[in-house]
Amino acid sequence: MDTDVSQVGWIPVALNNAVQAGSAIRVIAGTDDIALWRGKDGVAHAWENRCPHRGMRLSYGTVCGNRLRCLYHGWIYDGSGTCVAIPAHPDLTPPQTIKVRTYRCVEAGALIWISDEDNSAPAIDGHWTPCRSLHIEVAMPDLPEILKWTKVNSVRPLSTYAADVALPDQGRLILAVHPMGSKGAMLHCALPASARRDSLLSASHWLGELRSRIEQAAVV
Amino acid sequence: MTPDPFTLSHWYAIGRIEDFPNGYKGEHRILSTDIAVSHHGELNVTGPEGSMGVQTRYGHVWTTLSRDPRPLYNMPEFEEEGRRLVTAGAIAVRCSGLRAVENFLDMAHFPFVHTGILGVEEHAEVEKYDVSMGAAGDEIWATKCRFFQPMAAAAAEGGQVIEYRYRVAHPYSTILYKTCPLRDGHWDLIGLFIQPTEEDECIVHSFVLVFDEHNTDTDLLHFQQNIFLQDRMVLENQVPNKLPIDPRWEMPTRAVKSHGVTWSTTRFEKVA
Repeated sequence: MDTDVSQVGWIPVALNNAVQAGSAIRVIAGTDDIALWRGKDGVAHAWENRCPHRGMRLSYGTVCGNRLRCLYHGWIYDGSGTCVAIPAHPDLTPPQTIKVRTYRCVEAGALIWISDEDNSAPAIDGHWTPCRSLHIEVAMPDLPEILKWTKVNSVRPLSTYAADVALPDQGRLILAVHPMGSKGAMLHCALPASARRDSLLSASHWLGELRSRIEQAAVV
Repeated sequence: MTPDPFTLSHWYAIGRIEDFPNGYKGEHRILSTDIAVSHHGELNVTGPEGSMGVQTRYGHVWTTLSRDPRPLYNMPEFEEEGRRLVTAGAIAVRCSGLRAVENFLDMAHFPFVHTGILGVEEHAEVEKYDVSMGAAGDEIWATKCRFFQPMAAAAAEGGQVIEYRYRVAHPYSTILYKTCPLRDGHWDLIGLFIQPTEEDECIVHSFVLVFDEHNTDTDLLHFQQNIFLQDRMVLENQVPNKLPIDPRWEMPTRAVKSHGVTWSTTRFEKVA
């Protein structure tokens, strides 16, 4: 499924603990390759994973304070994606036109969401804690399709890609799906912040079983 | 995509001479074309249209898909007494061979990719250098390239400002002439003979041709392999993995453009 990020609204691309302050990771969202990084100030950024200079994936870069430095030539970009330093030419003020393409990036429900659009981010009440992310080796199924494979007491959609669900045995959790084009999809699961260790383990186990059912259904 | 005439007109290295001993028979690939190589008394290379040109030079076996190839460029240093040739073998890289040439010609990445070896972050500045075409108009030289290096070669002790000359002898062949740390007035040579297998895949054959009495072949090999593996991590993570053609890009791209090279390149505008 070729999902273009620009046409689908907010996509949950990771649990909020997948990228720690001072680090960068690579995520795929639809057909887009994205560098997800978090400055020392804790703010998460989602950028096109490509340095405008020589195309190097910025997810290999180094977070310096609240800026990202490309691995290849050390070009430094501020939080807005604008190039602020070119080490090979220290006396040059980089032209403002050297700018990484950025996505909007917010955190809600223990998830990091990205979007290309100006519409408002999913409103998710309460405090949540990250539980588990799993890769599924099948083309992205719709969230209602996925929920057919498990018993639910109630479903409250949060967006196209996430729902606040109540399960008979697990209680309440957020289930999110995140399309990755030809690379399958990710399932993300978050629990209320009050969840204890046994609830997290149980939800983690449930998510693993859900993945098996989705993948088996895809094979049949 | 069919290779453009300029790309087709060259000789390409497909391996070291010792990789094709008498009795050898094997399948190889250049420019998205299967070729068969055999050695029974003499080397034979066969492509889709029959027997192809073959020659051994600079420690390697070269072939061409062209019936009327441009002559293979000269490197008289290979005749000089006292030099040692060390080859690093074939390294497959999932990128355009032109990307590998671009990387090889680029001093600005030394402090960040080869930190503590070919550069340090405190000396990241690239000073102005000269660029000229070779006598026949089909080569490019970059001269008076100067860069501070903490450990410029396996034989180097301590940091020094090294003078470089870069030569792009053909689109997939590039040689670095580097001040010899042991012998004044001489240059050490390090070069890449790139075998483009697909538009976005290549095999890099490399050599060093140096005056160095202290290091073993293994020392020289390890130094080169260390550098190449650091570069490979970059080359396989550039988007797109073909070389974008755009006026903002530097020296190697200008060369590519002036000869109408299209194979293994991509228009910048198409990069989504």
